[in-house]
Amino acid sequence: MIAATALEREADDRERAAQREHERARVAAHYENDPEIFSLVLDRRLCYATGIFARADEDLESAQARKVEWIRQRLALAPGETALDVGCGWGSNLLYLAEHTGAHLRGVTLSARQQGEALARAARAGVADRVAIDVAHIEDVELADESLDAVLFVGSIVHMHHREEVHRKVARALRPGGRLLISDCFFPVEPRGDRNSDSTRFIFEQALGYCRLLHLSDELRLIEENGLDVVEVADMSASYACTLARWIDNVRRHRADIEARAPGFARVLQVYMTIARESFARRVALEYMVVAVKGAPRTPFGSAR
Amino acid sequence: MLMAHTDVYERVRAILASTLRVDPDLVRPDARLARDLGMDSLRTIEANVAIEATFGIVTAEAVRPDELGIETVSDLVSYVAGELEKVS
Repeated sequence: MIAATALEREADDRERAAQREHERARVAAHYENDPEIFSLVLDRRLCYATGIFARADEDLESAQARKVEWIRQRLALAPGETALDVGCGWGSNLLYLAEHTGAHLRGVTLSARQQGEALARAARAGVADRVAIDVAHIEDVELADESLDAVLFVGSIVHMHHREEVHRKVARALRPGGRLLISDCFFPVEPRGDRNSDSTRFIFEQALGYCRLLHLSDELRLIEENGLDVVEVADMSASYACTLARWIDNVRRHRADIEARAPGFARVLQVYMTIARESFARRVALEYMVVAVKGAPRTPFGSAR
Repeated sequence: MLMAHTDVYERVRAILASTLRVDPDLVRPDARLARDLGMDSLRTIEANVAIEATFGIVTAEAVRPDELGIETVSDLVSYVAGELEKVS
């Protein structure tokens, strides 16, 4: 894969372990902020990725409720099955899946603060016995072959530079019939703007630590090369622009509270979210949800979906 | 209470000097934001956010200032003063 940005070339120049440490420190810094701040900006579940909007004027809660349910349906977890959420955040998907399926949920995050908040929420929801979360980089997590029924990356794979390794690892860990779901940002193959602009660097580096946006086709190729069939791709770029607009409104509404908890952070949030909203509204960057299945997918005729 | 135009000017000037990292003396009323002061898309967004935080107004439509006819420092000050009148 060709490095799309100067930031990616810098990552290529680092030793693998050094890049892993770079991601561990720099990406975690954003998510280590007070969860109370994110609860002022995001929906009540703390979904920190695109919602699915049915209308442009819909509220954020409805759009995020539709998203977690969309994910639940695609993963189709049966009681006793196990799913791994890589980059689980404050547990929005883990908790929804634990509450609405009989599955066992395992999460990985770089942020101890996110782990603490997610586990506290799991306890309050009465599902702590089926939710486990590790603070780790996915490259350091041991995954037994064919031990998982589903793996999800929701707004997280973009932080991982070594995509070949990540795809190889999760594909091996999936059982035959296991599902992979990715919801994240991509670049169109033909650049529609300067990918090394100050604005891009502000988001990718200053605000979020490290980001690598692949072309959708490159991500799909990695999925296929590791023995999975892609069964669904949904364009969510317009929904993500709406999601970002709601988040920006919430930053405005709670600016004083956010500043009191973390001076300067309201500015960082509003600036990066505004750049992103413009990018997705103009399709300079693209948001997709991808679903794939290891081995033969279930036929759509007569399946439980 | 309505803020005096000179107060708006001084605050906008301070925001621009700090956002654009230029000497405040260069931020004169007739200075052109892009051509003279180096305002690009990131600096525009940063300035808008600082203006929102300082004045409590919403500048959502000002992401591309040229679309609002904002070319100079003076244009921006008038825009902010106008928005302040709307919310007062």
